[in-house]
Amino acid sequence: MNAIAVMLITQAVHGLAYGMLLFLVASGFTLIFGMMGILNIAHASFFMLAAYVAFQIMAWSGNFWLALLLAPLAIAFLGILMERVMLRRIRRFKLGKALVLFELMLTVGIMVCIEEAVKNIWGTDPQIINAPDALRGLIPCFGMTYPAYRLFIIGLACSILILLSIVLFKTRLGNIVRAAVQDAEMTVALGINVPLVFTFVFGLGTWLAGVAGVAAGPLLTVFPGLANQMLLDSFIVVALGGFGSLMGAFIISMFLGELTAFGVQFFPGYSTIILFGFMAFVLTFRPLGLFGERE
Amino acid sequence: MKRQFGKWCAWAMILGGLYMAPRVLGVFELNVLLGTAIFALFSLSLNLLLSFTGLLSFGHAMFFAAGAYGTVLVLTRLSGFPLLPLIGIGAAAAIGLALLLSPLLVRVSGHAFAMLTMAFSQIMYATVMKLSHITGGNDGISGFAIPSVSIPVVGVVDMALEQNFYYFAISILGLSAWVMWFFTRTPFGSIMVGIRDNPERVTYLGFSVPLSKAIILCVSAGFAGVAGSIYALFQNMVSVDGVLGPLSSFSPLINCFIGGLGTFIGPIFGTGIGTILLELMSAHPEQAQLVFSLVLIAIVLFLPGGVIMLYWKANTRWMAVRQNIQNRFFKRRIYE
Amino acid sequence: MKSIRAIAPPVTCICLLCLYIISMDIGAARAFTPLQADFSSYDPEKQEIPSGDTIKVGLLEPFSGQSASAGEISNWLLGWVVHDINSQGGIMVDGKMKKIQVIKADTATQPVVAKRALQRLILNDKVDFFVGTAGSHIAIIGNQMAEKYQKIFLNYSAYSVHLMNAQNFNRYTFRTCSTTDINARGLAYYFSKTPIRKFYILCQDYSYGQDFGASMKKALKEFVPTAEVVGEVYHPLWLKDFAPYLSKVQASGAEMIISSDWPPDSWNLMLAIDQMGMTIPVAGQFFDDPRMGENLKNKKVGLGNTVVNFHLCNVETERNSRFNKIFHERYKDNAKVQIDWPTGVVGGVIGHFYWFFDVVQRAGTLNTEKIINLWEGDTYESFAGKLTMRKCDHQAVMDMFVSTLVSPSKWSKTGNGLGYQEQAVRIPADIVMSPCPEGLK
Repeated sequence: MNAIAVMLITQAVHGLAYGMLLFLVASGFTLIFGMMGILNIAHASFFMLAAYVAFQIMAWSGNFWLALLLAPLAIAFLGILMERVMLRRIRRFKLGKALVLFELMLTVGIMVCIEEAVKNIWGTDPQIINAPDALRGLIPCFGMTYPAYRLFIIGLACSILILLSIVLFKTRLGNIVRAAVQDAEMTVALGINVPLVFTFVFGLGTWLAGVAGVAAGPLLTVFPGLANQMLLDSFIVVALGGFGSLMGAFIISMFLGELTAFGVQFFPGYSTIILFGFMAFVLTFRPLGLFGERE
Repeated sequence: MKRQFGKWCAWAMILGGLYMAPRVLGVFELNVLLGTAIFALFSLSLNLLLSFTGLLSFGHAMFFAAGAYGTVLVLTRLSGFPLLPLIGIGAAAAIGLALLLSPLLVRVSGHAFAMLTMAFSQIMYATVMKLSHITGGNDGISGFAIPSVSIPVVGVVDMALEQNFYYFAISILGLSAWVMWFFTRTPFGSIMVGIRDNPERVTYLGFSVPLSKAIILCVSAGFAGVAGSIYALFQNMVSVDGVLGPLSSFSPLINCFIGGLGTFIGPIFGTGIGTILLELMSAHPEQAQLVFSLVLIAIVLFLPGGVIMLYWKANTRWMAVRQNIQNRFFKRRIYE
Repeated sequence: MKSIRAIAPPVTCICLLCLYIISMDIGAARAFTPLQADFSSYDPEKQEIPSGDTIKVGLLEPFSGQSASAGEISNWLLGWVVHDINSQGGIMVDGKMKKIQVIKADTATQPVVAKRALQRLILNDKVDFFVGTAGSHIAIIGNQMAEKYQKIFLNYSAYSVHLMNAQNFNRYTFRTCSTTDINARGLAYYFSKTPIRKFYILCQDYSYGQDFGASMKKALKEFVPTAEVVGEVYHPLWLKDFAPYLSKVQASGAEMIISSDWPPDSWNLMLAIDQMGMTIPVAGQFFDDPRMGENLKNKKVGLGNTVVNFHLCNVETERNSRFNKIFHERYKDNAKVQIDWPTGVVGGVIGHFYWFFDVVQRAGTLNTEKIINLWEGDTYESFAGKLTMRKCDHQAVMDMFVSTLVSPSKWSKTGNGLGYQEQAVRIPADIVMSPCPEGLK
């Protein structure tokens, strides 16, 4: 294989790995938005918090798999707590259209709060999570070698994607969730406990962010600014992919990952401008996003 | 009659207070006051979009930045440019940007509008960073001299002196705020509220919603530009983080919210409270943001009408207040 | 006998007077000596705040926002020196022993916040001088405010060359750290003695990174004419994924990456090199973090990393070994501060603070003009070598030090892991210093 092909394939896999990570975060973001109309600014903060919780669990037990199991659950618990205690409270104010703003401000407050709390607990120095030894080497594939951990991330995200699709499209629970996304009031009329479904989706979304946070840990050092970049990227994914569209989130995540990787290779420094330019273009002519069906 | 009198008294006190401020306060406190006033105007201009027209913007800072950079670039490149037109240039730069973007922005509303404004402000951020030979990039432009103003009778007024600049800036800010308030009272103000509550009806009444939105956007951008322009002169610098940073579009939103959505003067209160909080926490900068976020969360949860609601709460029952918020935001016009 | 009795009182008086004068003189000249205090009790978070008539020093640093750790580190270093001086009774100024009081001011690494914080420091807290700061865009504000309010500003951590050029220089600002230019020249000179010739410049995309990239290209041209810069790319701050950049580096055939990155970017770069199965060494100022080595799986990663700094702990001077010993004694088993040797910036900045307070002590006054006059052209024997304050642009002139990382190294955390080579290479000041900028007032 010649050098250029190797380079192209390597960059493509890099893009895929980051895209998958982004998808894990953005899928929760878009699910929560699609279902409850909440633009959860704190979503990426849960991602960052998960990385820290994983770091702490690693420090206590030294077991990465335990961290991967427990940290997302802890984050999901926090998310459910936030939904039941705070978001539900302001829903009771019956604010109509203005509710969106109240939820937005609440999540902005929570985002800042999480970031500052993390700084107070763990300090601002970067922390390192080590991947288990089995995942730290290089794996030869297709005539070249590739870091095992990145392949693990791709595999993890793929299996979660498949699991998620099965749950959402093949089970009764999935039917209810999709119905509630389509029309919450109608679903209530069918006698379904929609607030409970809301809680479930919120927990699921934050759990996904938590998984992404733990998975990102060994790839990057863990530091409080981790959330900012992820927030901006997941904003783009959700806006471009269409609010509430899982499929859109997946495609745009991949696209964004590849654009970043190839942008570095071919036009370094301009990928931000290109990306936001593209976003502006799409939103102008398709305000619902590329794959969105409704506001 | 009695209420009218009270109102006049309040105005006299506010004006007197602002006039006396340089004599009572030290330079530092005066600067804090002026800084708050500038951000209050910026928040007011955003409020025009948010509370009156119902447009959520995540990128209002770009107009603020356009004003700041416009003023500073003209000031540093063309020597001998007088002060007042400089602020006009700031406003013009912001309005120009709004005109340029309005064909795209007026097509959308709701979250798409928020996302689109965010995209444009990010593009502007990246562009300002890339054009560092013009804009100074990360370092920004700083240390320029502020031109003096010569007034026929009084003589030359040195604007490098804090007090003089304070009087100059506060009068422009006050005037801008008043013009904005007046704007909301004109028939056009009703169109704005109409667009917020029921755009179809506005169309049936024979007004063009996109055109009206464009006008509102330009007006709002213009005042944000004025705020940005004065801000750059006041700080004697413009830097990309200061005017376009990650939180610079969110902090006026937060100010509007803390003050009280749906009112005209809410943002002024919100900005003031934000400043006071940060000043109180100045000895513990590490905890300042944490406290601020907790206050924000507490206001959302327990005081959903913003600080201004404390006033309502004093004389109305809670249920009526809740009705009020709804009314203020959806059905009625302005409710100062 | 009688005569003796007659002259006895005046003689006694004179003798006593002499003794008194001598003792006073000793008191006045009693310089504090660095590293006298008991540091085992020193904790930057529980610093004793002296009250009463004190020397007030403003510490202008980010204590919130993304770079808050830089502020914490500075607070720790300044606190070390202040703890030392205060436990010796303080500094004699204007005929009075005064203790030093540090007042923190948060910049949040934003110029506007920094300006307001500085106004508070100067106008409200009435500091005697202020020190700082991370970020050259913040240091510029420091320069301007120092000039406006005529307060001395000690810049110990903003490296951009242009801070002290004709446009930004003023006589109230002093810089004790090196510059991007000096660092680049030090590195390039070192490379001229090594066989490495293919370099890849990978820096952060903002003024400090761009300055360093430009300086590096210039310096390589001057010292290593045969060197080849095979690629140059600037990445955003706090980059999320280094892999695409490293693939590009890999394809270019570079032998060494030159980077201005600081944590967390520098750490992420090293982690990414490890994960990608590469072993390419990195040169820069911040690629020597002792905490990094244990977390790299491939033990060959990091070998050959080259660091340049104005201080390194492996500089063998008598003063430095004493300092190393005291510092190591305090921090070797400290879980919180994981730096157990006073590596580059840590030791260097402590030395600079000692220099500054030594100048104040010798000036014997808080008068700005007198301190400036004394400091200009002043020479001080610091831990690693001589520091001289150049009069023309207030830039400290000093030898630079370069080290490569080896394993096992006695300077590593475990004593046999990745760390500095045995002894740093000293590059004399006259090689690394660039001439005074033109057009200074």
